[in-house]
Formats: sequence, C-alpha cells, structure tokens
Amino acid sequence: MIELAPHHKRGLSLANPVMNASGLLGFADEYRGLIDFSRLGAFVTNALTARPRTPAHPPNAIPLPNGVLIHTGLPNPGVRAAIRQYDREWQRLGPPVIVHLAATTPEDVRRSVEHLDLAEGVSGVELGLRDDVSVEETEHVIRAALGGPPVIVRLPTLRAAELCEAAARAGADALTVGAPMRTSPPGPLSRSQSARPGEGESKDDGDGQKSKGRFYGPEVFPMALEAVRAVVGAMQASPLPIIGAGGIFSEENARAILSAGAAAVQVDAAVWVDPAFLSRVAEAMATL
Amino acid sequence: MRQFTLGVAEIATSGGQIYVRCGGGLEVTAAPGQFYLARADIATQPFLRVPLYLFHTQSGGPEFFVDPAHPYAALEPGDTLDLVGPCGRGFSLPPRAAHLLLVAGTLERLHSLAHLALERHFAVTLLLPPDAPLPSLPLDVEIQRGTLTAHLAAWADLIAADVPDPLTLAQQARLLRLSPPPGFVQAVITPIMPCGVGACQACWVEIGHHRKRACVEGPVFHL
Repeated sequence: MIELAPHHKRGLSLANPVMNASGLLGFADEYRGLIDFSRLGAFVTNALTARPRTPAHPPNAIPLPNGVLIHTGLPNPGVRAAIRQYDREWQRLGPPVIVHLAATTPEDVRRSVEHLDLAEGVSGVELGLRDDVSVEETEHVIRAALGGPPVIVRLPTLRAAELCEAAARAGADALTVGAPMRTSPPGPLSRSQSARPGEGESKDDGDGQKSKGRFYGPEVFPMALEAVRAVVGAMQASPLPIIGAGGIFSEENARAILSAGAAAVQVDAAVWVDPAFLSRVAEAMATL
Repeated sequence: MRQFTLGVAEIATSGGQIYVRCGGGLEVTAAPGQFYLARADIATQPFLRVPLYLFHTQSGGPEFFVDPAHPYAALEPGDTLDLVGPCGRGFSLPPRAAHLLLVAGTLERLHSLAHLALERHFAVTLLLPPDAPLPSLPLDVEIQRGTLTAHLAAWADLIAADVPDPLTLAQQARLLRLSPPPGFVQAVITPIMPCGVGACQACWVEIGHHRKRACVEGPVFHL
C-alpha cells in the first residue's frame, strides 16, 4: 500500500500508484465500460469550485501536432450540487476518490472543504493552485483547506520547487507536481486538423490576445520529470509524498517518475488517446 | 460504449468518396450521426482520436465512409483501427415523416442517414452548395443546388444538416415554414471532442439558450 497522508488522522492509502489527473475522466464514471476503475490507485475528479461555473464561451480544444490545448473554464455544478449528484457513485466507484478543488479564495476553499468533509465517498482533496499564485496566497489557501479530508496540493509544474516548501509549511499532506501548463497556441492560429470551418479556433478575449489553455502532450514529460526531481531535492529535510504528473504516455514514463522519488503518478491526456492505457500502466506499476 | 480494434480489409473509392471496409467478427452498430473515436497507427493520425462515421455493416464487416480530406483517406488494407464508441446521439426519423431534405456540402456524416431513409421509403433530396462536388449517391436521391427555399422547406418533413452555420439554417427554416413539426431541423455539430464520453468538458456548444456537450448530448441536435 502507498500512504499519501501518513500524518493525517484518516490517512489516504492507495493499492496502486497510478491514478488519473484531474480534468481527464470527468466527475464520476463517465468512462464506465472503457476503464476498469478497480485497477486504479485513486480516482481524481474534474475541478470543483464553491459555486457553479459555466463552460468557457466558447470552450476551446485546439489540436496541435504534438498534443492538444484545452480551455474549458472549469465548468462544474459547484461543490454542494456535485456531492448531491455524485457522492453515491463515488462510494461505488472502487478506488479512493480525490476531489479536485480549484483554489479560488481561502473562504471558498474553507466552505467547500466543510461540505466535502461530510461526503462519504470523498477520501481526499486535491487543491489546484493557479500558475501565478504567490507564496503567501499558497499558504493561506492551504490552511483554509485543512481540517477535513487529507489535502494534496497540486503545484504548477514550472514553480513546483519554489512553492513546495510553503505548501509543506502550511500543512499539505502530499504534493502533486505537474499541473498542466497554461499556454497560448504557437504562431497564428490555424483551424483544427479536421479542417471544418469554425472548429478549433481560439477565442479572442476581447483585448486582442489569444486566450490560454492547458497544454497536454508527451513533450510535457521532461519538464514534469525535472520538476519532480527538483521537489524531491528541495524536500529532503521534511519529505512529503509526491504524485508526479504531466505527459506520461508510456510505462517507461511512469517508471521514471516513480524512480525519481514520486510515490504515485497521474496520467493525463494519454487516456484520451487510449483509454485502455490507464489500466495497462496501473497493472504494470502494480508489480513494482 | 467499448474500445475494440478492427482490421482494414479493403479501401474502395466511388465518386471521389472513400469507403473503409473492415474485417468482420465484431458487431459494430451506430445510429446515423453517432460516431466512433478512432485511432490508427499511420502517419496521418493526429494526436487526438478522429470521429469516424459508420456507413453500414455488411455481412463481411463494418464499413466506414470518409471524405478525401479525412486523415483516414490514407488507410490501407492491413492497417488497424482502434475504436471507442458508439458515441453521442444520432438523427431520429419521425414515424410519420416521408420527405427528408439533406443540406450539406459533404456527406461524410449524413450518408448513412440517406440510406436509412431510402430503406424506409422516404423521398430524399440533397441540397448542395453551388460549388460542392457531386457526391456518389443512389439514383433515388434528388440533388439540388443553391439555398433553402420556401418550396423545399414546405416539402420537407425533416431537414438534416451538416453545414458551417446550422443555427442560421434553422432560423431560415423557421421563417420559411410556419408551424414546423417537432425535430424539423436536426443538425450535426462537431467541435473537437477529445474524450467522446462527456468527461473533458471541451466540446460544449450553445443551442438556443442551453449549453450542451456535443459528444454526449449531440453531435446531432434538434434546432
């Protein structure tokens, strides 16, 4: 068993080091019939917020030769409605359910965690930090999340080493290293590869700038691996369990992240490319 | 919904259109307008899976229909397709309808609907843009070129559309046809759909005053 929250009174034990990343598999069992959830170490939900959020208008999925750029606006029904809608499914799903909570404001996070603490199907909370979060904000928002289920803090890939000690200081039980990087599409935007009019075009935010999105693809992996190594190095004095994430598209990628010192891995867009990959890599990592 | 593989047995071309015939052994079904998300180990495979529309299932195996611009126009016999599906909701032919008007520049996503309608003895008319290439279709299908007219709107019991601006087409249809029957305009709307199961939240489209996920609540929408 892998313990992700050794100092938390409830703990968070995983039978397998492989789970999905937030934003990939939906809120509950959308991938029913395609993924064997019982093989996973944990199931991580799409992002929830204290209040409901509508989709970005329009949402963007821009296929690129080496990956995909996605901007959704994190649509979700809000924490309370999500608990009403999904808690029974979370209890039935099999592996521990980790609810991903977007770290908006400390007050929203505190209220959300109070609700999540009452949900029987929730085993942990993953707090997703913004790319531009300050060290001070990081500490405030993590402290607001304490007192309920174990708290995993998802750090932006390129700032993971900078923020990891603040996260530990504030009381995080574990760290996810390797949030999808927000970026703009390279060059002038072209239409999608499907070449259908109107598809795949990025939104203009009104200020003449292209909107940003989360980039998924195998090219993220070297940066994710480097970030895991940097955080493991920075946390030697007071180590926390680390979940490595970003661009894992092969069993070798998953092994490399675990060898670098991570306790678990999150698989992202490889699931869209091949849903069976998640179960396959979980099976392979189970024998390590 | 399942994930499975099929071998490509034959590629046939007719009237500039490409038919991908696969080997048998698996039951593959889809309503017209439903799709499979496909992946093939070929150079033209994009990063994400590609929607693939079932033409029909012969006794020998399923057959898919793709446009010449589709990445799978480069498939060859012996290639393998990895499929996830069937995804989404397809077209519905109202029980008392008898006249189907197809409005499209390409038939990739309407081909199987045309054939199903002919099997059910519908009168089928295809309305093509003036410059669109003439597709290969059964002789029973009447082909017209131009824009939607009052005459066509009055004739049709159902308009099935695959056009760049389906909302404008639906608006025109409502102006030209008073008291249209329910489901009068059904249009296929396909933004990029990374997951096909409603998980990734990337394919929301605005239909009237509602937002819907194209991969699970579409790609065929009643407008």
